[in-house]
Amino acid sequence: MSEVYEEKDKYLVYRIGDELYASRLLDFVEVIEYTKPKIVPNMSHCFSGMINLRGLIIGVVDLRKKLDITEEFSGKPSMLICDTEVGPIGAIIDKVEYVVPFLQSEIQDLKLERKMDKTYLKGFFQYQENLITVIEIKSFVSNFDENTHSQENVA
Amino acid sequence: MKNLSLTKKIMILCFLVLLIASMISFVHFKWANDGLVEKVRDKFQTDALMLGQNVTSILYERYYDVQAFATNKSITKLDSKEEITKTLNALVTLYGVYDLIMVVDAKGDYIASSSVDSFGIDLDTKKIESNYANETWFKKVMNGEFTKGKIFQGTFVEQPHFDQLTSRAADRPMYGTSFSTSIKGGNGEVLGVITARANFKWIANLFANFYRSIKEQNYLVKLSLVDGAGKLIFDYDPEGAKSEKFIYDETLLGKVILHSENPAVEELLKGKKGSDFIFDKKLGEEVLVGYAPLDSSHFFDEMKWGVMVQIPKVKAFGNILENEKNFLYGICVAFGLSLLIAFGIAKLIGKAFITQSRKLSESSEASHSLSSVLFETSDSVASAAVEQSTGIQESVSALAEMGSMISQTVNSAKTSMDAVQKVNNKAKEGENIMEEMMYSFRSIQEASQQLERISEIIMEISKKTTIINDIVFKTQLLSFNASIEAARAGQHGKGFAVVAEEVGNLAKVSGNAAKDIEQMLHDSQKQVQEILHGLHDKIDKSSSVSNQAVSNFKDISNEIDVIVTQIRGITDACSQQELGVQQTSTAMNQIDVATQKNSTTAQESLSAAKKLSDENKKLKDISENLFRLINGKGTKIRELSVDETAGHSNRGESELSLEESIKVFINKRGGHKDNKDKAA
Amino acid sequence: MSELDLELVTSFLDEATDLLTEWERLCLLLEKAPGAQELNALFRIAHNIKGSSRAVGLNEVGEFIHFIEDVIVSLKDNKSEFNARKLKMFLGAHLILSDWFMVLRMETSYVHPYEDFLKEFFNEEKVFIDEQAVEQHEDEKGEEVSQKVQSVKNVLKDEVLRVSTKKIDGLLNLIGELSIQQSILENSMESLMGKNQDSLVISSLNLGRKITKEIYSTAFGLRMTPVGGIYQRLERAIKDLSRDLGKSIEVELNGSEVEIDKTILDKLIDPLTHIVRNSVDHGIENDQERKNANKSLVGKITITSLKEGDGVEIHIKDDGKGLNQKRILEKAIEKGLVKNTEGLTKEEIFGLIFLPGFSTAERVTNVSGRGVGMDVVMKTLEEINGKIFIASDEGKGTKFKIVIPTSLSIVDSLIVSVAQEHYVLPINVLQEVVDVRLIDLKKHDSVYVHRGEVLPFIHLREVLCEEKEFETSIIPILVTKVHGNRMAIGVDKIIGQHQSVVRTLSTYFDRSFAISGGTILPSGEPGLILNISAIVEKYFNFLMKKNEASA
Repeated sequence: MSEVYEEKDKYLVYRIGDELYASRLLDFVEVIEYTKPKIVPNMSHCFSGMINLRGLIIGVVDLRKKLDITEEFSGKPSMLICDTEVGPIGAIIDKVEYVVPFLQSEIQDLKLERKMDKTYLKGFFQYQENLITVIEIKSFVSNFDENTHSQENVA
Repeated sequence: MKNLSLTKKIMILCFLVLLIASMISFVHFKWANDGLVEKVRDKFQTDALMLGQNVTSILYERYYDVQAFATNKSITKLDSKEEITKTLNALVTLYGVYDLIMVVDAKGDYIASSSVDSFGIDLDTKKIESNYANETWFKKVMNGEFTKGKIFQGTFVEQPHFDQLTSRAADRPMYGTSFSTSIKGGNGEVLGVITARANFKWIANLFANFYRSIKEQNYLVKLSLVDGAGKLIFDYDPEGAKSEKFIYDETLLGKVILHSENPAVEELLKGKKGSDFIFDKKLGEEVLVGYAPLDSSHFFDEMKWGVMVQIPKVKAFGNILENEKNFLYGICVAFGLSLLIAFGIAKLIGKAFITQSRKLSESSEASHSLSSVLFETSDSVASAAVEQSTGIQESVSALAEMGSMISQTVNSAKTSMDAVQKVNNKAKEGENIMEEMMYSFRSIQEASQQLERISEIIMEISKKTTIINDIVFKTQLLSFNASIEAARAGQHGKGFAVVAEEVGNLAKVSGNAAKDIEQMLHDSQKQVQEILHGLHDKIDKSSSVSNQAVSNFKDISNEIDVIVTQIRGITDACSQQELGVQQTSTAMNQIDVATQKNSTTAQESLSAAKKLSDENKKLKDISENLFRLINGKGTKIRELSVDETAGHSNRGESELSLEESIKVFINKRGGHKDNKDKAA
Repeated sequence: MSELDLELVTSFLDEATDLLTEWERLCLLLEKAPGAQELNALFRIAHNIKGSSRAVGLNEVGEFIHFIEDVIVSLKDNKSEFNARKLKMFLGAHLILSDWFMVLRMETSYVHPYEDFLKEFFNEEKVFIDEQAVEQHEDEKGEEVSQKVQSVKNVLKDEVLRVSTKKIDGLLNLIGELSIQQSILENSMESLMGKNQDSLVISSLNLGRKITKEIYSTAFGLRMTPVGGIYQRLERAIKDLSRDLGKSIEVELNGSEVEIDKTILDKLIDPLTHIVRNSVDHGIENDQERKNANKSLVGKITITSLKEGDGVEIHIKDDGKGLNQKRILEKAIEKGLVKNTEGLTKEEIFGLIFLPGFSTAERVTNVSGRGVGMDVVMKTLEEINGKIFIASDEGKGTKFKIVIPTSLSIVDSLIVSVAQEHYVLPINVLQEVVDVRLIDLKKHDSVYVHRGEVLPFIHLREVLCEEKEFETSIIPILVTKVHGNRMAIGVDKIIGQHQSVVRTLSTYFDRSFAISGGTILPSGEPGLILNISAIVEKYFNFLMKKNEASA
C-alpha cells in the first residue's frame, strides 16, 4: 500500500475534544510538549500567548478555544508547530494520534454539518472506524482572530 | 526625799543629767569657736603678708626699670634733646607707670624729660627746666648713696610723697615715688642722672585686686600701707569711702602718724607680724587688724614699710557670732524638750509600777483563797478513791466476757477467707486465657500491616509507570517529529519514515502495556485495600470484644482481692480487740491498786495546802509594802483598799474561770459531795 | 597609505575576490556551452572590477582588466569567435588577478607583472616595458614573483578568513541562547543555594557571564563594518551619473569610519544610491541654471556619517535648487495622492515625495523619474527601523537626514512588570523614571504633573490589559519623549535593566499595536518589546483632548 502513497499524502491525526482531525503532515514543522504560553496583550481570546522554541518566539493558538470545546481534557496536551505564511504558529490540541497516508481521492467531500468555515474544512475520511475531519491547518491557525461560530452563521 | 514619789525622783534625776550634758556641749562649742576665731585672725595676718609681698615685687621692678632706662643708647648720648624726649615718651607710654622721666647732666642741669604723663596728658616741660644740683635725689645719686636692698643696689629711691617736680609739670598734685640713677658713659664716667617719677597707680591696682579677692570670701576690708615712721603711705577703704576709686588725700597721705593710736602699727615698726583687735575711734567699734612688714629679699633695707588689713570685728566674725547665738538657742530648746519628755516617761513608768503592784496583791489574795479550796478538795479526793475501787472490780468481769465473743468472730472470718481464695484462683486463670487470645490478635494485626506495605509498594510501582507513560509520550512525539522530518526529506526520507512509524508503533505498544500494567496494579491495589479494609474491621471488632472480656476478668479478680483484704482486716481487728480487752483488764487491776495509793496521797496534800495558806499571808504583806514604796506614804493605803474592793468587783474573766475550772475539777472527782464542801 | 584607504582597498579586494570566484564559474560554463548570457555576466564582472579598482586608486589593475574587457566586448559584438585560446586567456587572467589581489592585501602598492600574459595572448609589446629587459630578467623575475605570491599565500592563510554573515548570525544566535541559559542558571543557583552560596561557584558563574558577554560583543563586532565601505559606490554613482548628465559635481565624504551592522549597511546601499542619484539628477542644476543662479559651476554633494546616541545619522546634502513645494503639491494632486492640500506643513509636503507613484521629474530620464525610488527608500528604511527627514531651502539646496540604529539585534532596555507579566521597554525613548504616590495622581486622573510640566498619563495596565486599578500605592512612572511629545507612562514595578537581543516576531503579532518585537528574558521566557512610540501616538492626542475637555 505504502508504494502508492507519496509523502504529501501523509496526514497527522490528532484529537481535540471528542473529535479526530487530520492535517497534512507537511504543514507541520514539529510536535512538542505543552509549555505554558506567556500572555500577549490585545490579542483575540483563542490566542494563548507565545513560547520560546529554542530561541524562536512563536505565537500559540488554542484550538480547543477556537472550536469552543469546553469539556476538560485529562491528559497532557501537545502543541503542533505549523509553518504558516505569517510565520510559525503553535496550536494547542489534546493528543496526537497517528500518521496515516491517504490519497486526495480517498477524502470524501463535505457532507456533514460542522461548526467550521468551509475554507478550512477539506473533507472527511474513514480510518479504523473513526471519521476524521481534514482541516487546512495553516490558514485555520493563522486566522485565529475569526470566530468560527460567527463564520458558520454567516455561511 | 523618801517622801517623794517615784515619778518625782526620776524627774529630778533627768534634770540633773540634762544640765550636765548641756554644760559639756557648751564648753565644747566654745573651744571650737575659739579655734575659728584664731583661723580668721591667721587669715588676715597671712593676707597682710601676701599683699606686702606683692608690693615689694612691684617696687623691685621699678627699682631696675630706671637702671634699664639709663643704659638706653639714645639717653647715654645726652646730646639730642628731641631724641631723648622721644625715647622717654615711648618709655612712659610703654610702662604706663611713670608720670615723668627726666634726665639732668652731671652738674644738675636739665637736659630733657618726657612730655606726657602716664595718663597720656601733655606736660609742661618748660616749668621744670632748671638746675637740680641741690635736690636730694641728685646729690645722693652723684655721691653713690643708693637705696640698698639685700641683693640689689644702684638706684636711689624716695619715699612716696606728693612730688613737686611732677606736680609742677602736670600742674596738679601728683603722688608717687621717685627712682633715680646715674647715667654712665662708655668708660664708667658719670654723665648725668636720670630720675623716673612713678605714680601710685600700680600699687593702687594691686590693692584693688587684693580687695576684690578678699571680698569674694565675703570680707569687706580696709587695706593700708604704712612707712617706717608710722606714716600712712596709702590706704584703700572702699567701704569707708563708699567708692572703689582711689583717693589721694593730701591731708592724710604721708602725714598721719598712726602708731600713737594704733597698737598694730607699733608692732609693725618693730618689724613684727600678727593680728590684733583694736578699738577704732572713727568707726566707734572693735576692729581686727592683720599686719605684716614688707620683709623680703626684694625690699630695701632702710625703708620699713608695712601692710595692714583691717576689718570690723562684727564683720570678721559675723558667722561665728551667729553660730554662737544659734547654739545657745538650740541648747535651751533641747533642754526644755528633754525635760518635758522625761516628765512624760517618769509618769508612765510610775503608772506601770502601780498596776503591777496592784496585780501582785490581787494574785496573792487569789492564791490565798485557792489554797483554802485545795484544802477542801484533798479531803474529798480521799473519800472518792474508796468508792472508785469497787466500780473497777465490776468492769473487769464484763471485759472477760467480751474477749470470748471476739474469739468466735475470728474463727468464722478465717473460714470465709478460704472460700474467697478459691474463687480468686479461677478468675486469674480466665484472665490468662484472655491474654493469650489478645496475643494472637496482635499477630493478625502485624500481618495486616505487611499487607499495607505491599499496597504501598504497588503505589510506588504505579508511580514508576507514570514515568514510563511520560517516556512513551515523548517517544511518540519524537516519532511524529521524525515522520514530519522524513516527509520533508521526500523520497530520501522514505526509509526513515518507516523507522519513525515503527518507533511510533512501538511507543504505542509500550504505552498500552504500561496502561495495562497500570490497570492491573490498580486492580490489585484495590483488592489489597479491600482485604485490608475487611481485616481492619474484624480485628477492631474482636479485639474490642476480647479487650472487654479481659478487663471484666480483671475487674472480678480485683474485686475478690478487695474482699480478701477486707476479711483479713476483720480478723486482724478481732485479734487486736482480743488483745485490747486483755490489756484493759490488767489495767483495771492496776487502777485498783492506784486508787488505794490515792487516798494516802490525799491526806498528804491536805497538810501541804495548810502550809501554802501560811506562805500566802506573807506574800500579801510584802506586796502591801511595795505599794507604799511606789506611791509614797499617807493616803496611799486608803487608796489601796479602795483599789482592792474595786479589784474584787472588777475581777477579770481569766481569774474567775481559773477558780471555776478548779471547782469543775472538784465536781468531777467528788460529784455530789461538792455542794456540802463548798458551804463548809 | 592611510588607514581609511587601506580599508577601502580591503573592502574592494573582498568584493573583487568574490567576483573572481564567479568569473571562474562563468569560465567553466563557457567551456561547456559558450553563450551570450555568460559573456554578458563576464563583462559585467570585468567592468565592475575595473571601475572599483580605479575608485580605490588601483589603476594598474584597471589597466590590466581593460585588455580583457576589450576581448569580451569583441566577443559580445560577434567580432571575434570564442575558442579554447580565449578561455585559456580568461582563466589565465583569473590566475593573475587572484595572485595580484592576494599580494595587495599585504602590500597595497604592489603591481603584478603581466607582460608574459600579454605577450602570449595579444602579441603586443607593452608600452611601458622594455622588451630586452624583460627577456634578460625573465627567468629571474618569474621566480621572484612566484616566490612572493607563495609567501603572501602562506601569510594570508593565517590572517584572513572570509565568513558569511549567515554563519555569524548563527553564531550570534547561539551566543544569545548561551547567555540566556547562563542567566537562567544564575537565577536557579540563587534560589537553589539561597544564602549559603559557594564562593567558588559564584565566582565561576560570574566569570562565565563575563566571558559570554565578551564573546557576544566580539562576535557582534564581526558584523560591524565602516560606512566608508559604501562611500566609494556612492561616489562612483555620483560621478558616473554626473558625467552622463554633463554636470560637474564635487563629492565630499565625511565620517567614513563610523561603524554599522553589516546587514543594515547592505540594506542602506540602495536607498542611499537612490537619494544621491536624485540629488544629481533633480537637485544639482545644469551649468546654465547655476550660472543664472549665481552659483559656482561645480555642484557639491556632501555625505556625512555621525554616531548619534545609539544610532547613526547619515546626512546627504546638495547645494542644488532645493525642493519646490508648489510643484510637489501640484504633482501630488495630479496623481491623486492627496486631496486637501490646505494646512499641510512644509515637512508634510516634503513627506509626499515618499508616497508610492510620486515622481516630479518632468521628463523620464534613464536615471530616475520612473516613479519608483523614494517610496522604496522609505520602505527599506522602515525595514531597518530607520527614519528619514528632509530639510530644503528653495534655490539653496536639500538635505536628507537618515537616522538608523547601529544594530538591529541588541537593544538597551528596561524590564518592567505590568499585571504580573514582564515587558521590555527600549531605554532610548525614556527620559526619566520617577516614583509617584497614587494619591498624587488620582487627583488629576489622566495627568501627571512632572516638575511643573503637565504630562498626559496612562498606566500600561490600561494599555495592555484594559484595567484601571493599580495594586500598589506608589508606582514608578516613566517619562518618555516620542516625536517631541512627552508623556508619562505608569508601570507596576521596575524589574531591571537588560541588553535585550531582539527577535523578530512573526507578522501576526502586529495585531497587537503595542508590540514592536520580541526577546528572550533573562529567565528564559519569551518577552515582548513594547512599541512606546505607538502607545504615545495612540494615547497622546486622545489624552490631551480629554484633559482639555475636563479642564
